[in-house]
Amino acid sequence: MIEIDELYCTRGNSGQTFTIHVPHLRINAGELVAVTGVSGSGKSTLLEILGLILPPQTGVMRLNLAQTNIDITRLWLDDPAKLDTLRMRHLGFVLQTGGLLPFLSAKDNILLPKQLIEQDATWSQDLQNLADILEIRDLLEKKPRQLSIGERQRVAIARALAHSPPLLLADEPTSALDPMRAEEVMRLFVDLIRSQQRTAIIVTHDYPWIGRLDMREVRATLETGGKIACFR
Amino acid sequence: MPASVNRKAGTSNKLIGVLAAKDLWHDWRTTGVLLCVVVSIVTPLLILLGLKQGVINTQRQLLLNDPCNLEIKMQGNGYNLPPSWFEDKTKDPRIQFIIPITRFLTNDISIRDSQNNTESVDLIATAEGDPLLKMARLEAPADDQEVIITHSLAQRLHLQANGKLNTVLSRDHGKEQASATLKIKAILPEYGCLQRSAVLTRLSFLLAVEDYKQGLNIALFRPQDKEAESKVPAAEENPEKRVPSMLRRDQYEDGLLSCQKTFTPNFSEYRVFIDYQGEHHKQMPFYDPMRPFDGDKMESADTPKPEPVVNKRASYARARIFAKTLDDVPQLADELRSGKEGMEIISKVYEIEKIRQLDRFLNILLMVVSLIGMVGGGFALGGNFLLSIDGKRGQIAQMRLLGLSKQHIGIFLGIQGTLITSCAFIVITILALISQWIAEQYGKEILGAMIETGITEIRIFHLAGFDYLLAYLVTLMFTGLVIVVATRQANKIHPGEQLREL
Repeated sequence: MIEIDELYCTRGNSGQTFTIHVPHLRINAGELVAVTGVSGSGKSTLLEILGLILPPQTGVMRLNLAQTNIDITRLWLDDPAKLDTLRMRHLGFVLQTGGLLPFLSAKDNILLPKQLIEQDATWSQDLQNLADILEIRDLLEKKPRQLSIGERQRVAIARALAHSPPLLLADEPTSALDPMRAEEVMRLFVDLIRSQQRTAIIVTHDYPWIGRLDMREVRATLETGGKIACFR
Repeated sequence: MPASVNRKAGTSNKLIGVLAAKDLWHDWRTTGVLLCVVVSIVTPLLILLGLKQGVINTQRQLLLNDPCNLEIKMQGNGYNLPPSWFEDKTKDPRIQFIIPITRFLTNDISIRDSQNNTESVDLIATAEGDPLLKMARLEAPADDQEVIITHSLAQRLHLQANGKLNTVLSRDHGKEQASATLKIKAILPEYGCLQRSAVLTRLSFLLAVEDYKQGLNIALFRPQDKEAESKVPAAEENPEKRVPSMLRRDQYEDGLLSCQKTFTPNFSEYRVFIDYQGEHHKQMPFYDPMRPFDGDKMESADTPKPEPVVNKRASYARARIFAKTLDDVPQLADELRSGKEGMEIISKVYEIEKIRQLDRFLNILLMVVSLIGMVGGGFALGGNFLLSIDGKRGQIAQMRLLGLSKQHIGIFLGIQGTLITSCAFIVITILALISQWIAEQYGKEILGAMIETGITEIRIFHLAGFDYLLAYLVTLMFTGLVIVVATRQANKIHPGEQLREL
């Protein structure tokens, strides 16, 4: 699904720059990948590149979506507006504290990605089942500010999965939860991804789960005095 | 490239609109502040415009409602205005009414009251279409026996509509007098420039008065003293010799040929029929040489029935002229002054110019206030909008992360701007209507006296639907500029901010 070769991306000013380097990365469809590393090691930057919101400066990045191999590096140069459409249709995001739109109810937040793609999207049985699995059925009419952090994360997971994207990107989805609740939410998330045969890349600090949840790990290693993070 | 990449996202503007509205509703405090900014900028400007238009329109209305302001008065004792001059003026689209009148010296008549006192009043020629009559919704006198009198005359002599008006004419330094009893058809309300005693008559009556004063005997006027009546030549006398001596030849285009016999069934119905050269046997009811008319002969086949035709003159001394609009008055007055006649003209140009100057001054004032309001308000609105966008960075980043393009964000903010402006305009319209109501309450007190003078539409505040629409569109345009700046700012927000800040 994802092919990356010799990808470099530098951020910051001339005095204080930070570069991430991905020499070679292959992620297959249905694979569950945990991106790990110390704080400030560029995990979120890598997620931005994979999420099509940050262009790589050099290297090759390809995405295999809808049985078509897309040269993302090329697309950034030729028609970056199409990346918005790709993101809308094929990607789902789960953020640290949900990232829900505060002016929509939980139900409307979940339904929104579907509505953005299909004009006539309605609350389907699949979405109802998803809400049941995530135990958010009673929370659907509430606004995000009325939900606890754990509840928001579960709504965010439902939203990320609502339009059945082939690739899910999650940035420390359980970091704001207590350990008990965190493992519960993560297990729920992983189970859903597996049951729906999606590909997922999850940035996380919770190393013990990587093994427990049978995830493949891609680790960031700081090089050149911490100025370059290499992902292998 | 998958089809889904090339296919346009199904995101509809309707969905963006729903999101924009829900966001405004959810963040009602910020929405309220933005709404207040728009209301506080536009409402005072709109009220100022309403007041400006109200005051100016009322002033114009005051000028317009007194039809005398449209009149271009000829001074001097008389000009030599041929019928062709009147025909030309009738065709002028700037002139709504024109009628010949006689010299100053001959356009008055004495009125005798119930105590047998007489007083001299002005005679004013009138006809259908006279603005003085139109404004008062009165019809012109149907014949020479009917007159319309001014409010001032009616009040002083206690005269009423449908009553009698006893008139007295004198000539030869008062040695000879004649009288006529006329019917008062109506009483003309008092206008600013016609507060004096005056009688409005048909032109033919006015000409008859002039002719009487010049020595002609007129059927309409009954000689006062018997001696004068006895001096009237007998029917057998040759009228052809007498009549030409009474009528000036230049008063008739074709010249007088002969005068036929008269008859006297009723003195007031005396008629003389005059044949004109080139119009053989065409007869006109005219002056009375006080001869008995042979009624049988009149009815005979040889003598056709007379047609009531207004006396013709080769020229007239003056004219009553009314311009169509106030704006036409200065130009027409200038043209008459500078024409070959070099007329001495009096008009309300000065008053009209004063209103125009006030209008211009208020326009400049409004423009300056609008400019200050718009610039200051623009910064306030822009600043508030940008602050609100800054407060929603995470939200905008999240929307971008979900796949909404920069264009979508522009539409989102554009719809929000339109909704805020539209809601603000509902408030603005209500406030403007309240202001209008207050202004009208006070205005009626202030201008109460004007209402009594017959002016029906007193307005201190006036805004038409078009003004509201225009103000709405200008505000929308202005909000649009703010939205363009805000969209540029919003599109600098990177979707990645959502990943990093939370």
